[in-house]
Amino acid sequence: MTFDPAFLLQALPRLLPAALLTVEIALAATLLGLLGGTALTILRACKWRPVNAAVAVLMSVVIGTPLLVQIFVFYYVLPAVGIDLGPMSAGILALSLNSAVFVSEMMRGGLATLNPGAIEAAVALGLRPAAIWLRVVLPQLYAAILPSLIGEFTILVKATALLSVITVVELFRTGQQIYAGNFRPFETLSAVALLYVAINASVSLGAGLVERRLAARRV
Amino acid sequence: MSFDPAILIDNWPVLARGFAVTVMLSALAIVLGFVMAIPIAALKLARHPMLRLPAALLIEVVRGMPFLVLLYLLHFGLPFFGPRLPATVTGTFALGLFGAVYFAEVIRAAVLALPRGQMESGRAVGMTRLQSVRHIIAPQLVPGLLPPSTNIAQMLIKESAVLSSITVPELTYSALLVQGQTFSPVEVFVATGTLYWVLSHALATASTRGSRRHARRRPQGRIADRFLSLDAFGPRP
Amino acid sequence: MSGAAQPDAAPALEVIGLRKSFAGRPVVDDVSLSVAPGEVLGIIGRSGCGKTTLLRAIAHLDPPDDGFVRVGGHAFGPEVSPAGVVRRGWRRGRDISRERHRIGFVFQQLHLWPHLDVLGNVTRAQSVVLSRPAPVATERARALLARLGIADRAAMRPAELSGGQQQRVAIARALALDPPVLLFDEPTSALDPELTGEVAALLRTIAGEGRALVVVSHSLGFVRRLCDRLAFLDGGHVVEEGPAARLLDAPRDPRLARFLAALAPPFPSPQPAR
Ligand SMILES: Nc1ncnc2c1ncn2[C@@H]1O[C@H](COP(=O)(O)OP(=O)(O)OP(=O)(O)O)[C@@H](O)[C@H]1O
Ligand SMILES: [Mg+2]
Repeated sequence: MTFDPAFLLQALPRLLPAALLTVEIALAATLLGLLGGTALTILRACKWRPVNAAVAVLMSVVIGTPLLVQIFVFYYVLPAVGIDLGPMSAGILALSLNSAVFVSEMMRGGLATLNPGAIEAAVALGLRPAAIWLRVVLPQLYAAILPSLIGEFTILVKATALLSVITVVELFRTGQQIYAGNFRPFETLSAVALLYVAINASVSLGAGLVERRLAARRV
Repeated sequence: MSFDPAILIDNWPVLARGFAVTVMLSALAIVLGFVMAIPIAALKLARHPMLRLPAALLIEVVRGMPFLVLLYLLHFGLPFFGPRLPATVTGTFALGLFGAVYFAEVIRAAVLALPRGQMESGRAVGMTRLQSVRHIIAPQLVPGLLPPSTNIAQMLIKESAVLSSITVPELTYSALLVQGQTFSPVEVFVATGTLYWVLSHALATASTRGSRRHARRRPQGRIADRFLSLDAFGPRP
Repeated sequence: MSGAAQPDAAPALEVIGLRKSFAGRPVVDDVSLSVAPGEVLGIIGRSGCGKTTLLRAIAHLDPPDDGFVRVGGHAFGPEVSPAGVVRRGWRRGRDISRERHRIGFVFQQLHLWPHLDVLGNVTRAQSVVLSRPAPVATERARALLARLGIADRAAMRPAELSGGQQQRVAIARALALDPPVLLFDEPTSALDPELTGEVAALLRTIAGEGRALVVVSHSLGFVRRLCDRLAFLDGGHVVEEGPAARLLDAPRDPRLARFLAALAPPFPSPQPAR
């Protein structure tokens, strides 16, 4: 058997819509992850010990276990306790929770880089803590972690492939369906790999361009 | 929600065997990955662009695709070059290769972070290039290499769960096996998650022990720290 | 300053027709020099005139494009011609690393090894390059450190030392291999002015052991105290060369005169320029 690029090209028309779905799933998970990550960060910032402890346990579990196992938990365990979401929702939620934890860690790093002077000024002006968080800290924080967030999106694009194991028909599973018909797994998977690499490369390239644009404007 | 320990007591040999496979193949993949990373990093650091290109391409391509896809590509692609290998061998190699591109970037960054002139000062006293690397460069890389390498090792332990999809009998595969027989997801996945957590935590603890003296504490006590720091009880390990 | 110079002896270092260009631009252009054992040659010139490049080409840290170097009458590296022909005295494919211990190089930024203590900095090359047994290397290192007045710092890391002490470690590291030739790139640039006198005295005694020293410096006072002869470099050429005092006090080439006038403080100069 040899490598026949014709099969690679033939697979592309069916793979492209699946690639779009993959991007949509990743986008949804990124946004939910950002939301969840912000919530976790604010909970941590309150420095209320019981809450801190609970968040710490959650984060440690999410960081210390495979995402695949987390996906299985959402897919198998939630229905067993009476919450049946279907594979797509369960999968997106698993990705989002995972992402939220890593976003919160990003935010911890980002906070350390912020200029304390601006916050001290806000305190001196008598702003309430909630207002300081909303008006001063979060806007700067989001700007600070933007590059990492874009990295998080590319990580999630790759992570969506794991949803194939709980029957979500995204890019990778579409590829599997194609080679189940044409018996050319290597060519088909090469096309799948190419699409993942292309998505992530264009995200990184686009991010680089935007970043340079922004940097130029700041000067 | 009920938790029936009897299920775990009945099935622990399967899970224990899976855990042992996970430990061994992760360890193997970590070592293999680091060894493969050294030539990749050396190429990526080369002066000649034609040497840098293949390394850069490999890194970009492997990092750009999900590990699942890399695993399947090797699973179906390696037989082009020889006999079909057992899934465990293919899986360990795939995990090692996946780790290698990440380790390579870490090594490259550590080399670039070295004070300038170190290689040169070795050469100036008459050491060969290899002797300079061995006596001057390598020893200086270790402290900077340890923390990020630990992260990558942890990532590889977690990614090893993906090998279940090509029937490697590791921990996640065993968990799915037990879950399929007992229909007790709560017990099975709590146990599985705990085992992974223990493994990656043990690694992290060992590594922080090794590099504790490099830790730096941020100055405390500013008003702004109320907003710029998280958690009531200090940074987690 | 004549010191222990023996101008009649065979030169310890000979540099003949050395050339080095970067991206087609010549930076060192046909430089020939000769330094006798015990003699200190100073190299002066405007910033960017190629002093560092010349020292690096002599030590073959950047291999010269043309010309050749001899240490104690023996070829140091291949004798290249523009046609790339390897000439007499150097077997093709021989590793220049095996020769480098004959020229000690003290970098402007020192480049000490931060992961080793002072003793390790001074012994490591002895064991790796000259295969000296550890006790021998250690004994040699301790003797050198004692001579340079930093014996009590042997167990410290370079980062824990002052700039002057760090420089002594760098000198000890180079001296440990007993090179007949030592090259110094701006040895005073990182030091407090009070220390330059000490360094000059130290280098003088090192030369007094019969070594040839080449010292690049921007400090005219330092050069006047230390050097027997001076070479003024401009545009990659040696424009003027001769006894140090003569060059400093009675420059012939107008470029040297302009250079000295720009550097020397206007009033205490013994012969104010007009
Ligand atoms: N590796 C290199 N690649 C390209 N150009 C170089 C390189 N090294 C030096 N040059 C150029 O050669 C010229 C001479 O540099 P060199 O460092 O020898 O000057 P210098 O006389 O030591 O100056 P300074 O007194 O400032 O140390 C400079 O114009 C420099 O830009
Ligand atoms: Mg210089």
